[in-house]
Formats: sequence, structure tokens, C-alpha cells
Amino acid sequence: MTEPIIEVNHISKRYRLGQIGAGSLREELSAVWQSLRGRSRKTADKNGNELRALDDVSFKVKTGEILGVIGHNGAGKSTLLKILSRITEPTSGEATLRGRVASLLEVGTGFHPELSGRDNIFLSGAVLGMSKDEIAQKFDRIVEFSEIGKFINTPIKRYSSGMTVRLGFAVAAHLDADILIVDEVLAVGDARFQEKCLNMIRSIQEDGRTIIFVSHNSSAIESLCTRAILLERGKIVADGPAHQVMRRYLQSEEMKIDGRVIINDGRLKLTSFNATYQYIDRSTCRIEFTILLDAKAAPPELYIDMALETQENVRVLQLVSLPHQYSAQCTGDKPVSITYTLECSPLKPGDYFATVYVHHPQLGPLLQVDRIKAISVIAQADYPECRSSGFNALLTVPFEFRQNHNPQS
Amino acid sequence: MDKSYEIKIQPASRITLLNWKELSGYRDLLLLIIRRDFVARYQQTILGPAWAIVQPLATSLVFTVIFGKVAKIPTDGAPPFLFYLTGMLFWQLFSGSVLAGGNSLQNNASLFNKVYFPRIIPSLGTQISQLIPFTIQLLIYAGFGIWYFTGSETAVFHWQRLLWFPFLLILVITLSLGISLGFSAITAKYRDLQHALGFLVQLGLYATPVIYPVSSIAEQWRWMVWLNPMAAPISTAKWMLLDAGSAPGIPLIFSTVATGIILVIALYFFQRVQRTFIDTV
Repeated sequence: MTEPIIEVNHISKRYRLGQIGAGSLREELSAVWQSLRGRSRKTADKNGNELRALDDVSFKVKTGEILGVIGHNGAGKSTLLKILSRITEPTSGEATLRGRVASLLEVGTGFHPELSGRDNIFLSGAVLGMSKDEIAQKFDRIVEFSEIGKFINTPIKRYSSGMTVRLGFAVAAHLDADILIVDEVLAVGDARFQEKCLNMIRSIQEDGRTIIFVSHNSSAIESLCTRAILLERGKIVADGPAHQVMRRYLQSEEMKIDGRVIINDGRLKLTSFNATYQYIDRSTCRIEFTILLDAKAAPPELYIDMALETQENVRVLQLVSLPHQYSAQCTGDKPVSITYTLECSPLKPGDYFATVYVHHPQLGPLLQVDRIKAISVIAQADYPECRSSGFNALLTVPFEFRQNHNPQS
Repeated sequence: MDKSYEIKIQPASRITLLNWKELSGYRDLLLLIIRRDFVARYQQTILGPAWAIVQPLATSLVFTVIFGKVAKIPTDGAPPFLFYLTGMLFWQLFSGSVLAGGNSLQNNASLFNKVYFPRIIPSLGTQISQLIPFTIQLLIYAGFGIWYFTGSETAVFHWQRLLWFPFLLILVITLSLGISLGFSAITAKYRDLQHALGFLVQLGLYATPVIYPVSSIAEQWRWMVWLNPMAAPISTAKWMLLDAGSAPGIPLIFSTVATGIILVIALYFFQRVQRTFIDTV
């Protein structure tokens, strides 16, 4: 197989900013009126009222590859997905997809609330590109996968949101496309569902099908994708093995402004922050934080503390360096790079944010940056408790269970 | 690798009005969308599709009282109630389609934003769905027709004229598809015009010889009535079914040609707008 299954050549997509949100006849008429009076509409465009969502993007994907697309919000990820799914057209350039394409940009595409689960399986399947016979053939498996059971003939407006999502996902999991375009929205939902989603992607991978997967979730990208591309302001800035590109993404320029600077006396600048989370077993995970400080004007000795918080601002960890006399030496000409390594119980699935404190014994606090997006933890197959909906503790710990005989009353 | 699945994505250099090959691959989806519209509309209703007969019967009854008894507008010798019912039968096919399908891009925007399939499919579905209430209305109509023609000694039913029926049906469906697509293309861009749709359709009823015969219009103004492409099919239907008035010859040819032109122009704009309309939603 010499031909790549996906070939993207010089795709660009431009939006005229003036056009977005317009669309009332009155505005259009006034534009026509302006042009009649000799004021061309084009002048507005020349003034840079144009957004390049994608700028000359080219890449190739081989059959069986799982390509991760990463980038910050507004980097052009969704636009790329929409063009490859034929939802919108590129402004210039072309792409060739050699195979059946299914795009999963939401769960339950095409569902209608009034219809029964059965009807919706057929409708959603057809919307996603399956034929009626194909759906009928897989129907029993879809129902089984969705765990909807006897509610299959009930209108889905009576379903719980979890049931609807499961049904939508069951349809998606049974698509027979050669190329799957998957958005990270599929990875939302409870931990159990996330896990099911990731398992599905793994099984598709085993079938040798090709996937394009967009996500912010670094562990998902690193564990699933064979290759990744990094988009920044509509351009591909990195393309290569997933872990390398992910590292680059975490160090990329916009990362600096990701956190909230609370204290900054001007001597220091946090230039990069990188965190990895590795699940080892039921009682252990390994977390590594690496920070890079621009310390040209800094005092020679610094104490750097770290904290990790959940999305809901619950502090999970605090790493305090002063009691241990862990200080960083600054020479002024080189940036300061610090790595913290620790092991603890595995964390509950979710997003975690870091806070970095830099202080000096005499000068006091020099820098504090809050809410730096640090790690995303995904569900692991071997700790079943976090799959149950009632589980909301931060840590999972292995425990023993024993019934005591002859209890004293 | 199956070559037939190769997809090329590029900015369209020219607009294809209808890609038959692609559409035929989406037959199942079309049928399921028709089913969806049907089931969703009559879910949790008592009478279900039977509601289709209430509106034309009630309107015809009101017209009989107001325009027949009070305003005394002539009906070319046909019984007023059947005269109005005939007009309403075809007018409802048209107005129902346009009201349901004239905003199809906007109505399906959230779906079109997530998945690709030919954007014309929901419009085609709406058009075909309209045949369900039409068929029910036709059955009721046939009942009234039989009752009238068997009860009357002078009225003669011209069976051979029924040959025109399929032609009229196709003409009205094509016209409503054209108007729906054209309106969808316009409202996708100028969203304010979707409010005008209902109003225009309502006005259209009075611009079309549904409640009055063309013969009641002064000779020198009649051409203005015939400019409306719905005028000729409705007048023909009344001649065909009730022997009211005469068969409009040239106006029917004009209406057919106009319908064809409207469909082609509407398809052109629809296909042009649908390619990138999702960017403006």
C-alpha cells in the first residue's frame, strides 16, 4: 500500500470576520448601498478583517495510523476536522480521503427525542453513513453494547442522559468506516464511558483502520496515537511521534499564558511548565513536573514550591522545598529548570491544575502562577471503583475487606 | 482499496445541481428522515395523520360561508364547498411543503454542523412527507366527489381528464421543492426573512385562484393571475375534477416552464449556499 489513505495538500481556510454574525438583509443592503456610492466592500477585507483558521496545512496519513491533532483553542483543530468531514469547504487547497469516512464529532448525531431507541439507532446509523441493511445486521450487537435493554422501544426523550450517550456511542462503535474522525467531545462523560470510548479506539486500531483524533487530553493522545501534529494559529508547527509532539505542545508558547499570574515582581518569568502522569498500579502513580524559569535578573538562590489542585480548586498535593533545603541556584545567564518527581496513590480521572510559587528567604515571594493546566487523568481499567457513579474521592487506594467473626455486641 | 470511496475535498470550482450518484447512496437516510418526520409529528397525538383532513375541511367550510354565502363569489357553476376543497387540496400540498421545507438549512444546522450528507436530503424528505397528508385528503375528497356526482343529475364526471392528475401532482411538488430550496438558501443567509415565509404563503393563497375562479377577474388583468405559477395547476384541477371553467392552456405551459426555471435557479443558489453556510451559522 503505497498511497497514503489521507492526503492533505496546502489546505487553507479563511473567514471574513465581517461576514460572521452578519446575515441580516439590512446590513447587506447597506453594504450594497455603500458600494454603489463608490465605497468598495473590499477595503474592509484589506484592513486585515480576515481570520486564517488554517494556513497552508499539508500532511499525509498512512493506513492504520492513529493521528492525534493537538493545539490550543482556536488553533484550527475543529476547522481541520470540519473540512476533513466535509462539513465545510476549504478556501484553497485540497484533500483526498481514500476510504469510507465517518466523523464522530458528537455523541448521538442525528438523534430525535421523539423517536424510540430502535428508530434512533437506524437514523443515527444512516446519518453517519451506514446502510439500512448494515444497521439491521448489527442491531442486536448495538443494543447489547448500549445496555439499553428493554427500553429500546421507548422514545429517547425519556432516557437519562447517560442512556442517550451510551446509545449514541454504541452506534458509533459499530461503524465500519476506513477512516474515523473523532473529536474529543467523545471522551467526555463519566470515567467508565471514557474508558469504553478509549477501548473502542484501541480496538479500531487493532482492526488496522485509520483514525484522526483531536484532543487536549495528553495521556489519551500519548497512549493512543502513533503520531501527532501540533497546530498553532492554523499552521502545523510539529509533526512526529505523539509523545514528542505532546512535549512540544506542553512547552509551546501559549502555555505561558495558560496560568494566572498572581504575584510577579519582574525578576522572574515562568517560561514553560510540563507535567506527566503515569499510572503504575492500583496503589501507585508517578507524577513529574518540570518547570523552566527565565531568571536573568533573579537572586542567586531560589525556593520553588508546587501545588496541584483539581478543577474544583481542591488542593491535592503541595511540594514545599524550604524545609528540605531544596533550593535552586541561579547563575543569571542560564534559565533555571527544575523537575519534581513523586509517587502517590492514583488520582481520580479529571483535569488537574498546578500552582508554582517562587520565593527567596529574604526577598519574600517573587512569583506565583495559578491554575496552570497540568495533567488530565483518564480512567484505568484496573481500578473499577472510579467507574461507579457514586465515586468522587480524590484518591483510589487498594484495601482489604474482611468480615469479623463473633463480633462482641 | 476500494477506489469508489475516494473523496476529494477542494473548493468547488463549479456547482453541481444534483449529484445523482451520491444521492442514490443516501436512499436509506432519505427514507429514515421521512419516517422520522412522520413519527415525530404524530407522536402523542390522538388523531395522528387524520389531522390532515381537519384543516382543509374546516377552511373549505368557512370559505363556503364567507365567500360563497356572504360575499357570493361565483364558483363557475361548481358546488362552492367542492370548489374550495379542490383548491385547498392542491394549495395545501404546496403551502405545507413550503412552510415545512422553506427553512431547511437553518432547521438542520446543528446536524449539518456535525456530519456530512447531501444537504438537500432533508428538503427532499419534507417534500415526500407531504404526500402522506395529501393522500389522506385525497381519499376524503374522493368521498365527497362520489357523493356529489352520484347525487346530482346534471353533473358529469370526465374520467379521461384524470390523466392530467399525475402531471399536476408532479408540477406542484416540483414547484414547492423549488420554492423551498430557494427560500432555504435565502434564509440561511438572511435569517430575518424566515419570519416572512409564513406571511408570504398566507398572501399567496389570495393571489391564487383557490377561493375565486379566474373567470371572475376582468379579462385585461387575468395575465397577472397567471403570472403566479400555482394559478394554472389549481385552475386545471378544478376543470379536471369539477368541470369548473375551462382548461388553461397557455398558462399551464407557462407555469410548467416557470416551475422548471425556478427549480434550476433555486437549486443553483441552494448548492452554492450549502457548501459553506455552516461557517455563518
